[in-house]
Amino acid sequence: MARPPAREDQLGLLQGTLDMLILQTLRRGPAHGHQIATTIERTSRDAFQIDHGSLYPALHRLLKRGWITGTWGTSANNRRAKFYALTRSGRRQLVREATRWERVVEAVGRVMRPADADGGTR
Amino acid sequence: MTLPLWLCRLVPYLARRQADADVAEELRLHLELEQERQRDAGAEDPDARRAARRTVGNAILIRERTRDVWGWRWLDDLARDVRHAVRALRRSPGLSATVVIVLALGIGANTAMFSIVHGMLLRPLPYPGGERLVRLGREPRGMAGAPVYLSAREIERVQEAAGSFEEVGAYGAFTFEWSSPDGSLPWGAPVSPALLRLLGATPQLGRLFTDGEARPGADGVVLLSHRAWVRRFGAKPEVVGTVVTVNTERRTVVGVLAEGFHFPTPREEVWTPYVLRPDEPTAIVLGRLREGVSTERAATELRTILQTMELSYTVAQRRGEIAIRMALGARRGDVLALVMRQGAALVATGAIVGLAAAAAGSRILQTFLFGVAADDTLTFVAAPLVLIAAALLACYVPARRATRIAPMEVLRSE
Repeated sequence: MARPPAREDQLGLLQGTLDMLILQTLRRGPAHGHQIATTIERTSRDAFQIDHGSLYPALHRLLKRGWITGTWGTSANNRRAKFYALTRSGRRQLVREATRWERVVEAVGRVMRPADADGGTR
Repeated sequence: MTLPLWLCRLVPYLARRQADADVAEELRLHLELEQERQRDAGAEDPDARRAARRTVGNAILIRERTRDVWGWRWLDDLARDVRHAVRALRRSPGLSATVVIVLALGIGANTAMFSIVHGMLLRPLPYPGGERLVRLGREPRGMAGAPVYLSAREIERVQEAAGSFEEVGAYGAFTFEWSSPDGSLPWGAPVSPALLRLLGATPQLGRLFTDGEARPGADGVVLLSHRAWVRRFGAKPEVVGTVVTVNTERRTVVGVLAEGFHFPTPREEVWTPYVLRPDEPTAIVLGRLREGVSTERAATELRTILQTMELSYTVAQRRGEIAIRMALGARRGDVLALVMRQGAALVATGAIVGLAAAAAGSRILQTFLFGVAADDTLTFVAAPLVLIAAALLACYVPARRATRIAPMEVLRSE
């Protein structure tokens, strides 16, 4: 079913961001779904109350692209859990995403604080 | 065990199944861990569970979205539609079978719902425009031959909508014996007022039936044949207006038909107005084609009309179900798409069966009927296209109507 385009854009942006946050989290080592969710929440100092449900479709999106792998293992308290780990191409993707993200932040910053931007010209 | 990525990409179906099983388990664990975390943060037990549930969200929806990541969602949709269709078929097997059969035969047998009888039956009879008289109806299951009866509703629709016919009339399948004043048991037949006009009957005395006299509850009337008038009523002109008993009913004689008018066979001596039932198909239907209209064109038109009615009816019957879907939050587009996909499934079944039957049966049919070629372009290309388009429209219109009404209104009225 076709959705109104505005909503699709919004979702796309959120999706992309979440994917990047997941990749970034996995840079520290393999983790299962709940760990990823809580890590993102904690490191963002709870600024991102991420919707835990949306985590799993995102993880599968990354799996499909080959940026992460998923292996069943045993969690700290002895329960079966699926651990996700960054692949080599996932690492490259993270670099690409992070670069793009910094450029966006920088550009938005220049627009929002034009004085700083002028002063900052080299 | 986890499937390798290349296999998942190659066979998304496997990936979907694996993803679904995995996510189900992961979500269970996630929920447990989240609950523990909430408890550690100081929440009471039931609160912790509730909070965990809220954080994780709708598990079924998450599983669905995760599966969809791997593609092939259409396969799930298709499987679901097939399940729905089977359930619907079970609920009303007769009706569903009728839809498929009507479609199949409508497309398939060139003469399916429209048997051409003028060459065999009606031509010898002295009716005006006799060469353009045709009999119409539904094909009996799987056989070529005499068309089956139509209901009043269908006849009305054909009369309204079919531009191919000058006039459409009906008569009862069962002729009857009645007790004449002299104690013998001559024959009679129920005929619709339109049928007498169609056959060019003219009264020698009195008049023909009016349309009102064929409605349920109308006063009983009867027409006499010339022979009955002469033999049983002494050819007295005063017979018009007298009351006679036909079987147990008392009927007023409104007219005597001109000499030489026979219908359906020469033995009938009286005619009563044929009262049609709205839903029960009991009538044998005759029509006179407009000048220059081919039987092919009329047949296509007739099929389209009848099939549209059948499908509209099946969809209209689902108003309650549609209302429930809407009340549970289904979007209009989704419901419409669902109905359309199911309609398309029925149509496709009918079309496939029909075209196969046409290919196989055209030769056999040709030997049965005159001037009929089932392998012409019209039958194989144009007619199926028109039928399919009409069928889809027949699903769309009532479905759209059903999704427009507030669900509560529909549900309250059922």
